[in-house]
Amino acid sequence: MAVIKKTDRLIINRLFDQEMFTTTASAKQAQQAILAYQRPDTQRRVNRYLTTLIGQVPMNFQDNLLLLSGPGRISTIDLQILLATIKAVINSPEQSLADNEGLLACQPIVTSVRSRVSQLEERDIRKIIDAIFVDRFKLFKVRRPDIYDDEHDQEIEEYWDISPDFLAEAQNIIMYLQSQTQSKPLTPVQQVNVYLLQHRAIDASKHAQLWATLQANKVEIAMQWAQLERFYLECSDHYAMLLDAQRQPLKSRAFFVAVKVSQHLGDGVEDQQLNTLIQSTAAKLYPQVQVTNSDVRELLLDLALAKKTKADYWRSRPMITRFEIVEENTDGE
Amino acid sequence: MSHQLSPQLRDLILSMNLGHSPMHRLGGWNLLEIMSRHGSGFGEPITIRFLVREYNAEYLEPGEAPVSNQILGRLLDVLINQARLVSENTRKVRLNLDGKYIVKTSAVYRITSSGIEFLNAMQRVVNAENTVVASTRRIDEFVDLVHLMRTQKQWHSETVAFHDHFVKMLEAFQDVMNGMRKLDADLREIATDLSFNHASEVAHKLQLMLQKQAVPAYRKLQEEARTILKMSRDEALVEALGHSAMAEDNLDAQNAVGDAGQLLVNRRAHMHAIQRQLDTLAQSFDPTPSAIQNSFDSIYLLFETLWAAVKLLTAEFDHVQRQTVDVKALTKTIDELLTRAETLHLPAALPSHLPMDRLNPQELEKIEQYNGEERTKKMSEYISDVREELTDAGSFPPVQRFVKEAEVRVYTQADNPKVVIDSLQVSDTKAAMNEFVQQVMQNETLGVIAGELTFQHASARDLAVTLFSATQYEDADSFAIFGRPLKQVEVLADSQPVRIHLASEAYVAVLPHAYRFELEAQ
Repeated sequence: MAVIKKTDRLIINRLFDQEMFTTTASAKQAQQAILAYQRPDTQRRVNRYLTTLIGQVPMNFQDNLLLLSGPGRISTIDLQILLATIKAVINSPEQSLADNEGLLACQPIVTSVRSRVSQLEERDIRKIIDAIFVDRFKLFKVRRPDIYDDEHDQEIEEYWDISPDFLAEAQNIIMYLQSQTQSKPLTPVQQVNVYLLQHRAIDASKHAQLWATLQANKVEIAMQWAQLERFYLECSDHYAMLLDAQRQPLKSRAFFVAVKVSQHLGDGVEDQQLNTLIQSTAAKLYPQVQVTNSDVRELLLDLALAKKTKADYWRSRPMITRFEIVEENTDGE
Repeated sequence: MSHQLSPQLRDLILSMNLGHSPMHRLGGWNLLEIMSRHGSGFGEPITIRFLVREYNAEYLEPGEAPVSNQILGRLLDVLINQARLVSENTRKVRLNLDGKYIVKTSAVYRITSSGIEFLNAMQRVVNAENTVVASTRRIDEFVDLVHLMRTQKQWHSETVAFHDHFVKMLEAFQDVMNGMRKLDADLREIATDLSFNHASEVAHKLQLMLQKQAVPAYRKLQEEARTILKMSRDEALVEALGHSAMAEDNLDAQNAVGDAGQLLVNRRAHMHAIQRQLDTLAQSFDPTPSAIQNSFDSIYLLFETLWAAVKLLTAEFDHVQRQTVDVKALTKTIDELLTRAETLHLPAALPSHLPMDRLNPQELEKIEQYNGEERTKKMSEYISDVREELTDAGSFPPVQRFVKEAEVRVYTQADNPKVVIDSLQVSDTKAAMNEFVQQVMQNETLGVIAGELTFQHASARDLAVTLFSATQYEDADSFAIFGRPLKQVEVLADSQPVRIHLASEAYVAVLPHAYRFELEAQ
């Protein structure tokens, strides 16, 4: 495999993080990357690396990239809302005037989306639009006008600050949706990579075929990921996972509780009883403090420590062996 | 059949519903028409009976029920009282009852001059679309007439023709201004259209309009501005015009009779009127801000619209340049995708992966403070040997995490943002005053500044220094000490220079002479 350069790495890592790589960037490194991307050999290298790794290339419109490589799919309603929002935004008359700085009032957009997707209420539509465009793709920012007069009741109008790359990325999304019919079948190694990327880890017992491929090509796969200098393949006897060098080790109380809980799940715990288990474990570790159940549940799934079966049972996964919680005998926390 | 109302006029009248009659929407208009056509004075008096008859005979629409006295009565009520387009009088009317006559007092209706004006105006409104646009062409005529007015040689005040030219010039100006206003409205309409609809034809139309009509017309008007302003101040012109208005071929009755006195009075009145008209014209061309604000018709207001249109076109051009995405085509694609949304799929977001923690504690500590891309860089420096072994991590001991590591973010006062300390200006006037008095004043009214003085307060020191300048003035009472005016101040001759210190400063203020001052007795 060709060696990829630092700017390529930046681009690819950003694509994995934010699914988009746009031409308006703030950091200096990103600026260099953008310039670099405009050279055809950079593009070739990036595309080749990604093809080898996961069999997918990013969509490219005027040097703005989009890489949608996640698991599963968003619901049909969400997709309809996404498309209707794009349509409303690009057709809104205020977009045309350059002095508007890309600010659009939320309400008219939500209304026009609702006219297309009439099953939901406006509030729900607004929440979904925020989830997609503000949280996930980060193309919108919510802004409110300053409130000067505290005495009178005021209706607060919210505005979305539309990123200048919106149009290009919207075009990318459309192209992605249009090109769904053709996709080459993935090689076994690519399948392993894709799975690792989308699901964090592979259980040896659950995915025999993937596991076999992995074992056979361990070194090669590790080398591929190592080029990014970010993901490290940890492969033990029962599991394999990608470790992300960009993240700091977790330190919250919920994390410790989650690890402890996962080690006590045993054969399986019913969903209703999970809360009691969480609370009792937390009480033992941190007697004085409260730990939120939902945080712990989220971490259990996030860290691939446990999974929820169809029958609503929580089972631990082989990865729990990689953590060991050391409690102090003396008065710890 | 309503007398040949053109479709536009018909729509306009229907929309107004003059008379508020739901069944007879053209009722009010028709009544006005009957009255204006029939005229007053000759023939049959316009009573309700007459109106009902005429209306039912000639003004009913197909499918409309015949009108009755009450219906027309209501309509007339509105026309008379609310719209004031018709006036009502009671007259004695002679009715022919099949051979026998009777004289009856009944109401007779007459259309007022407002009513007539209304009829004409509505027609003009409908025609405005066509006539007004053509009027920018009168601008050449206007310019020629202006030139005529300014060359004295061409004034021929013996005949009325000169005055007629003047009247024509004013009319031409009115038409031109109407044309420009219409252009203004059109430009604005196109501009609004442009922001909704980037079709390049609209932009093209706007550009043509600006290039071919608006800007040349405007420029021509602007060039005449100085001439017109000068004209309005030209008394000789006004006199010549007045002369011409009253010239021998004037059709005025007094002229025919030869009533010289009355003619003189008329001429004076005329001259005043002409002056007024010239002034109004000049005000439209006056570039001062007050004139622009007060004038009904200033040509400079049009400049705003033209400028806005030009700016819009440039913005549009920029937009088109930047936009390589064809919005229309994209919208169509989106519509098509929306229809088959169930078959499409968009992946969910990538999940986050576990943090890399397979380093020994010292290494972990070293990179602890880094985050994000820097962290990966630093880590790659440490990790090369661990990397190979990672693939055989089965033999690794588990990562040890100590429970006490759990960080809880407690916010202390140290996390508070820094607040700027406002330095309060403490007023020390009283203390300064006391000090000054103590150091300098010998009694209630007399004070001497001499020798070496040291003050604690800056304002006292400043006062001692600035008062010295009072010695240079004859009249010292504009100087005051803490509110008390000086009566007299004089320099003490043959005195040593005065040195004044401020306790907290290292400077010395040196006055060339000592001086003495006297305050007004309180």
